[in-house]
Amino acid sequence: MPDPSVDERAFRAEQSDVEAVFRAYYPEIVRYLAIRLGTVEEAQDVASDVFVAALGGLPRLRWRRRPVLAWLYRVAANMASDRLSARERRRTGERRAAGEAGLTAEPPPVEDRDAIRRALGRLSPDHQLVVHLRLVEGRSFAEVARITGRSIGACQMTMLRAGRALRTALRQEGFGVD
Amino acid sequence: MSTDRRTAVELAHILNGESAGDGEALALARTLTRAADAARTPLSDAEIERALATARTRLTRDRWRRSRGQRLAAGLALAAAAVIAAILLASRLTNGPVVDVQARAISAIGRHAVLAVTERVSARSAAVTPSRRTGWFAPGGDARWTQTADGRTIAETLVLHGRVTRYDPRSHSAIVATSCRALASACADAVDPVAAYRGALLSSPPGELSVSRRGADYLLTLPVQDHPGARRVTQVVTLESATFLPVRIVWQADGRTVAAIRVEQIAAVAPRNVPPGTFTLDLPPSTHVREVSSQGPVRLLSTRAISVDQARSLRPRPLWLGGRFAGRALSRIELLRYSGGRAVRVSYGPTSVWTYTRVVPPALLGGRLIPIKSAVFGRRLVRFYRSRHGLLVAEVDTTRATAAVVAPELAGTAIFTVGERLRPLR
Repeated sequence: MPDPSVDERAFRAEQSDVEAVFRAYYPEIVRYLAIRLGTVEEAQDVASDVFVAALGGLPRLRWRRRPVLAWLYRVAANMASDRLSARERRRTGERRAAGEAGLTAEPPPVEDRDAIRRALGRLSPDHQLVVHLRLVEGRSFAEVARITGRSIGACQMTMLRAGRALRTALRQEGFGVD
Repeated sequence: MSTDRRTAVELAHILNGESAGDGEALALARTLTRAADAARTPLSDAEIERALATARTRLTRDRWRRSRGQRLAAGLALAAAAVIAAILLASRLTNGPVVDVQARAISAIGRHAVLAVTERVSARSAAVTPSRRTGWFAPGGDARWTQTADGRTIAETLVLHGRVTRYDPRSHSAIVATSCRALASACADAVDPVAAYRGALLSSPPGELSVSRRGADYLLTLPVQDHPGARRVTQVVTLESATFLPVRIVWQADGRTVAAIRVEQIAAVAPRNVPPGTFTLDLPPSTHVREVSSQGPVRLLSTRAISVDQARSLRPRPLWLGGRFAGRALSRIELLRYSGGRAVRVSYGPTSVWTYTRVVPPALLGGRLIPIKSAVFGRRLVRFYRSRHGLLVAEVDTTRATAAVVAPELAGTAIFTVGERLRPLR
């Protein structure tokens, strides 16, 4: 039987201590979900679902040459997408009801931090993940590549596109960006 | 290499700190870094441990549900067994369901565990902003929780060894009470509805709790306001049959639902596993702090009727509900002097609005281990508790005073809407 790689041993070690995995990764999954969903409160809700799934499913997870964290991000991304879809369906209904009642929504007040978060929220999920992993969590491009399953070059290109998209989104939020 | 590829590599070098950069790459790096700063939300160890404890509890619950589903799918033979089990269960319910449910519920919630709870508070009244309360509640009375509405913090509260600190980030003010006796609710707001439910479970003799079934779940009914002649307010607690943990607490006045608390997350944590620093609250610099203290039993020294103009001249200004409230005209304003301080009482028939600062009028004192609920009306946090006389009291803090409304004859949701009507008498 071949000697397992360092990565696989790390994977097995994490698999055998799900609570350590929780403590190590819960904060960053919450921060990632906050970018996707817009509020920390909702992010914690969904993160709770992610880790319930993780605590239950991690011991049965098979080694596929990807770290446990990559799996957590995939589960988080899927759950965030579900939540956003549900939110969009609800908003569509509310907009229809407001339209029928002759109501129009006032734009929210522009506060720097909130506006930046909203701008981040407008990025595509791929862009959000790369920005989050590299800049919010401070991981190297090599680590970002390992978690996302892409090449380093592809991650750098994604970062470039994310930066451009972010500038556009910030302008739409009323920010003057140079 | 394409232009975009070169820019991407340059951007990566800037972000890695390997190059100062210029042009578009530098501008993008600045924008991205600024955005990342805004997204860097720290989470405390206490929050992480709470989430972990909740996830463990939910996992147990989910596994139980899955196993229930598997049992149901097992076929006719097992279905027959289930019928027999149901008959046996019904027989047990007839003979003594309270003992069984109570024991299981106590076992689930733990006698000595610290409760990590997240609740969502809503109400039928449109005036109530749904809010969320997240906190830790120790069996000895220490508590620390945060209340949020619309994603913003409304109040931060700490009760530690009987000393209470309430911080209102909107007004940048705090009330520090040197003991629970200095507050009308006597720290009752430290008794979370879930913790109060646990107290009731532990203190009720077997057989005295009202228990019924709704589908697979159990319903427990407990009193909130039971003063003779007052409207009856009760709380109905839904226990999930899988875990025997509370999932919903509904307040009812005369059988009508007036407010509901959904227990979104609950976990019983062994005291040794509660992270250090959980029971702390650091007030930001320059917070306006009002300190209230208890100086033993309060005696009423005098009561004097005063005019509206005289009331207007008092500082801090008393709060009132306008010239009329609930169909009754303003009937009386009184200045009450107590040993240790004074209070103003504005009356509309049996409804009264009290304003006080350093001393709590005895009529407003609450009992210990009484459930208290807080809800947001507009941008104001209102706490509800039961006085020692069994009346429901709505309490509001302002920067300089505390106001309390006692309205024993109000029906339905009216008591829950006084918060938005309270205003300084000008």
